Amino acid sequence: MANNPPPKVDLNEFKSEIKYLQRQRFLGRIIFYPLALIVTFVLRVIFRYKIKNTRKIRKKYRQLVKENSPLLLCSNHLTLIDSLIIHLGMARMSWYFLNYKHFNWNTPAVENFTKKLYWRFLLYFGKCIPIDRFGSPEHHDMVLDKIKYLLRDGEICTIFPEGGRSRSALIDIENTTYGIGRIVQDVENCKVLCVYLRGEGQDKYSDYPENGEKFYIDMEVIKPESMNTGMRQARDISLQVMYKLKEMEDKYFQIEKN
Amino acid sequence: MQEKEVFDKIVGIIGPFAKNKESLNNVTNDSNILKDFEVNSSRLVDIILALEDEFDIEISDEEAEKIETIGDATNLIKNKI
Repeated sequence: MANNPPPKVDLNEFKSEIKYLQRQRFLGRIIFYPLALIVTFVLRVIFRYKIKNTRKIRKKYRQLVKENSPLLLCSNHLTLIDSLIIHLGMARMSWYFLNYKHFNWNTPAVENFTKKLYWRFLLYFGKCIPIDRFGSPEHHDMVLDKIKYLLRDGEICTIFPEGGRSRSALIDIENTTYGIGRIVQDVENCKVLCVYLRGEGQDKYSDYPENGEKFYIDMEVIKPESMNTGMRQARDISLQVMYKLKEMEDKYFQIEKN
Repeated sequence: MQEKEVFDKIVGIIGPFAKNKESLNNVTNDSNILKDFEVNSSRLVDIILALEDEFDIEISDEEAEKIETIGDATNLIKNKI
């Protein structure tokens, strides 16, 4: 696989976007603690969300980030706030405050989050890179290049490889996007943290989980590889991630059945 | 290979990925792969790879990004075979 090739986009534009990201990260860190407390209060107290097996997940996540290799988080996607639940499950907010690099970046779809001011505020200060899924190839390249930059810089980034919430409420391999493959191809030694998240009552996709929902989270790290090159390699890598998520989903339903 | 043959093979490859099946009845060189056939943009990569296999050619990322219509694909392939 190629080792850290230069960005595909215009270099000057990329440099100015990187400055923007650095400023966003700096300001996000300043406001992190009060914002995290408010969000945690809303999720834990108002919506009464609970996450099972957090101790085990948090321990595993802390061990993982110690390895210091670029880590791309890929998860299934059923609600608009999956990434917030994942944040909540993987570590305490106090730990994120002390390890701000490991509070991961997210790539929400612009159409879902830019209409209301509080979402825009949360997006900016909550380490998000909005993506217009129907945008130009140049826009998509820019988003991918930003993620590659952040991963090389030791940050963790989240991508939903189905490119949207699964309409069948199950892992939808047919809708796999190949951006993950392009990232893993270009970021040396990049590993993928596959995360399977599901609320017990989540039997279809929705904007938000039901109040009082209990979440199951499972995670596994893989290092996808392919002997192919170019687009075929990107496809192989992305599909390996999706098949791993599918395997994790089967495990979830097996546990549920028993 | 005749242009018509290339054209038909391209349409045949795109067919399974098209959500708008009716549009496959009126395909022209100007038919836009994403808009007219309502192909999911993520599936464009699968289409490009299928074209590579079908015509035994290589299409670079840059060339792939320029393909918007059936005519673009036909011209690119004609120049490569």
